[in-house]
Amino acid sequence: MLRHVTQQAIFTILCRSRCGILPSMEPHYDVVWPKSPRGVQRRRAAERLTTLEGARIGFVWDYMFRGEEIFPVIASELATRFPGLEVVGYDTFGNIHGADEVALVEAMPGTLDEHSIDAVVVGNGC
Amino acid sequence: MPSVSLVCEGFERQASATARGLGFDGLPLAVLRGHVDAQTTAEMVAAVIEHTVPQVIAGLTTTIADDAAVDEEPAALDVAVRGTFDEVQRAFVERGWTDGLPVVPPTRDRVEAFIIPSGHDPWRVIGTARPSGRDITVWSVAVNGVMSGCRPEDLPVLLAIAEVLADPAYGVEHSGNTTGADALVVLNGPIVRDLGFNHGPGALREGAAPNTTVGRWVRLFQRNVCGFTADEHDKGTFGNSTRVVLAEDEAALAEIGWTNLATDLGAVPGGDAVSVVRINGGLIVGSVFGATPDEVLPYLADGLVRVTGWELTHVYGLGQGHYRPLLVLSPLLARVFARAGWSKQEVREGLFRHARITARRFEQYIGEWSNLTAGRRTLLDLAAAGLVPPVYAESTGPERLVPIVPSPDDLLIAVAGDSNRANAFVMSNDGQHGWWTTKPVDRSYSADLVCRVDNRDACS
Repeated sequence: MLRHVTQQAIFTILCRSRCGILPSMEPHYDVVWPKSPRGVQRRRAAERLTTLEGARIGFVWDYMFRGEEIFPVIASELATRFPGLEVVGYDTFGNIHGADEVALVEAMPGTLDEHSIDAVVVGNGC
Repeated sequence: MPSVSLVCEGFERQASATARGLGFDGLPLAVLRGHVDAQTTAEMVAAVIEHTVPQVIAGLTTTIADDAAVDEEPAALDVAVRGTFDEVQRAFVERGWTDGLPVVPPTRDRVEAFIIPSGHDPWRVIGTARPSGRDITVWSVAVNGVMSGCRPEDLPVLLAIAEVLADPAYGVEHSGNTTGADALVVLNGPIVRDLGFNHGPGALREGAAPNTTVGRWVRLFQRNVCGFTADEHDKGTFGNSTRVVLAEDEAALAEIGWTNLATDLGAVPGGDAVSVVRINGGLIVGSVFGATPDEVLPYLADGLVRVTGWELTHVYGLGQGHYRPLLVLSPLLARVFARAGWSKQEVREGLFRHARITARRFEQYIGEWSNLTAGRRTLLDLAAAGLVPPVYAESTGPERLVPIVPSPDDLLIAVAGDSNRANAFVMSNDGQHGWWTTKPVDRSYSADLVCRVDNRDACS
């Protein structure tokens, strides 16, 4: 009997608390943000070309996902549509997702300059 | 320089987030419809001509609008959420800030109490988190440490892991790749005993708070700071569950005279260290029967073979000599070798002799079945070009047996688990997509915070 009364009293208190009759004793937390600021600053993308006619286009590949079939199709289509367009193939730039990825990507701006590249098609993210 | 990036359908969001992490909003994409690996050549070519080529042209010639909105984000000390325990949990789930489990609410007081005993400057930048481009700060390490349920004394371990994540050699930016490997932390040194990490029964399962909470921190930190959520950088097809920290049985190693894993990976012997690697999967080598090395080696080597498949593309293809699987021996099994006078190196050499598959199967994994080695070159071609060692071309038949790694040194061994059970566990790593990287754990008191608060000049 005593146990029953006690349980009923506890239930009543809980119910009244939830109904707002008694103030909740539950603590509140002011918590901080689990992310971190972006340290990398925003940059403007390079100006686009006005035309691809006569442009020198570099193909940069991660040697995955059928690039050896896809890049020739793109090269052929671009050459058909834009007179004087020249493609510098992916063999020139190496595998950007291979064993020496970090060094190769770091050196890429210089490599592109060295080959007088005007614009780049890079792939494949699959 | 103007560029356009080729991505398969479904990768647009990840590609844009990656560009943002490098500081560029709105870099153009050219989408390859569907997934090229599941298309006939005719289907793929038609889609490239019709859909992708016009996007390549537009991407290289159309001015990029510089109108991307700058996200308003809270500052580190701002109150990001205010509420009851349940309200905090709900907000964290809605905003994608948890791994799905309840977190310890990271109040400013708790985070400060987490850092202060170590003396670290909360605002020290350890490095850049890739691919998000966010700063890895002591503060962000600690916030996620509090959330994970870690203790303040775990902070040096977390900071060492954070240094690994910031190290380009590890390659954290690959942690959302489609095959879905996940990080494993191996802990070595006196710290295992001092901080009560479990190295015994159930070494690879949740249950021991230090192993579980630090392992959980790795997952939360990669979500919140590196950006590996489905909304941003996670493209894991399946993924793995969070891995608890594997602590080695240093006493067993000392007893048999073997070096620990961190030492094998270049750490100073006797020091505290973490080694981090991304693991594709693992399996048990159960009930190993035998009292001599010759009796137990074939079964252990068979386990290494069974856990190895497409990962061979890290021997050559995606990587070059980047496959280093891990064999975790129970102390009992390690003693079988030690009792016979075998060093760890001799065990590696024995495994190297036994863990072999046919050249045909090797080439199927890296080329025919996965298309991960461009040009589908044979091992004989690769050996002739000096891209794999001569051991892969000692004879020419497709049924010849070749090793799963180029050298015995590529087979890594750790000792943990129930000390008196004859089982082992094998794990395959994901090459340079989370490459074995070891950092010392520095438990000494840092003067950084004192220098910052009181007298920075005197400390410089």
